[in-house]
Amino acid sequence: MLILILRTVLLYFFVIMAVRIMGKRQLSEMQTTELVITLIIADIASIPMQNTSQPLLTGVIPILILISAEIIISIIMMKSSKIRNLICGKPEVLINDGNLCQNTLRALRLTTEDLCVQLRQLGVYNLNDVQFCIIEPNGKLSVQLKPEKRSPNCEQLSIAVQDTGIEAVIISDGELLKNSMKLCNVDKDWINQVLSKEGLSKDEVMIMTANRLKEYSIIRKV
Amino acid sequence: MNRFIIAVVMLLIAGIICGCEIFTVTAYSVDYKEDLDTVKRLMEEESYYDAYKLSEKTIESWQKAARHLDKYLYHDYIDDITVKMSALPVYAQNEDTQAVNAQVEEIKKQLTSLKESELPYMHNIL
Repeated sequence: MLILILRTVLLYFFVIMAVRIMGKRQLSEMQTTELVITLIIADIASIPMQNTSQPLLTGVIPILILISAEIIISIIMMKSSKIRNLICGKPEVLINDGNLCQNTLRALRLTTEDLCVQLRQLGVYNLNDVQFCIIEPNGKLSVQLKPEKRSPNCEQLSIAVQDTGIEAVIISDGELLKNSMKLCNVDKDWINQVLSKEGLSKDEVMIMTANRLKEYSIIRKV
Repeated sequence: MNRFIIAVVMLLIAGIICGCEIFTVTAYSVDYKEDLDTVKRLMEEESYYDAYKLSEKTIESWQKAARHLDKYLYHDYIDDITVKMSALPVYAQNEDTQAVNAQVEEIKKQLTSLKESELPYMHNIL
């Protein structure tokens, strides 16, 4: 049993390391290869975890090979669009300049109902509002509305908007977040100043956000 | 580029481990087959005491080798050979040549199978 615990801990850290090495892409939208690799790694890691008569290396070696293959393939895909299209597929236009591409829908085995469901999830309720609709290699839809259906932006409305930069969390549960402080260009002295003005100590703050204009908001711990 | 280097290093590590495994399994397989053949020959020459001593020595060194082999191979396979090898000194003490011969042949077959199944032949891959 002790061996099971040790093996599980070792494989746990090994799989985390594997996913980290594969990079951030792995954690968000998965491409075909990434989905396959993730499923296989999960399966491979679980076998030597349970079966103590199997050497740990029989789980570790295939995972090492899979990560290497994934990294090398992703580098090759980055350099060659042909290989990228071959492995991941390419974006397909479903609505071209307001016209539904029925042949593409049939080829992708997508029904108009499937298309409408996905469009509704993107906030588009009328097919006629769409100028272009593209299905991306990860299966998600990208939609451009017809010009008359698009929301106007500040530039088009000639409204001047102050650039506040990003609103970032600089204290989370009493802990200073240095990366966020850099993002919104504030330092420790300014934070201490604000906190003393509010009559608070750092440990009493649940969340504090700020932006580049030094506008802030604080939520106290209860 | 950093990740590419990591990938190459991981491939190298995997390659080195595989190389070590094939080398270790082959070397142990050849060595123990020789020892077992000697035990068999000694039994046929009716040097029962020498056969007993050698089989004792063989099993002692096999137990040490098994620790290395356990890193690479299924522990059940190794344990099975250990169990079969443990019977050899008893058979030698009882001067039972036929039993020793049968046991030696069985262990040799298992050692050959261990070695052969790790080599990258087409029938192993498929």
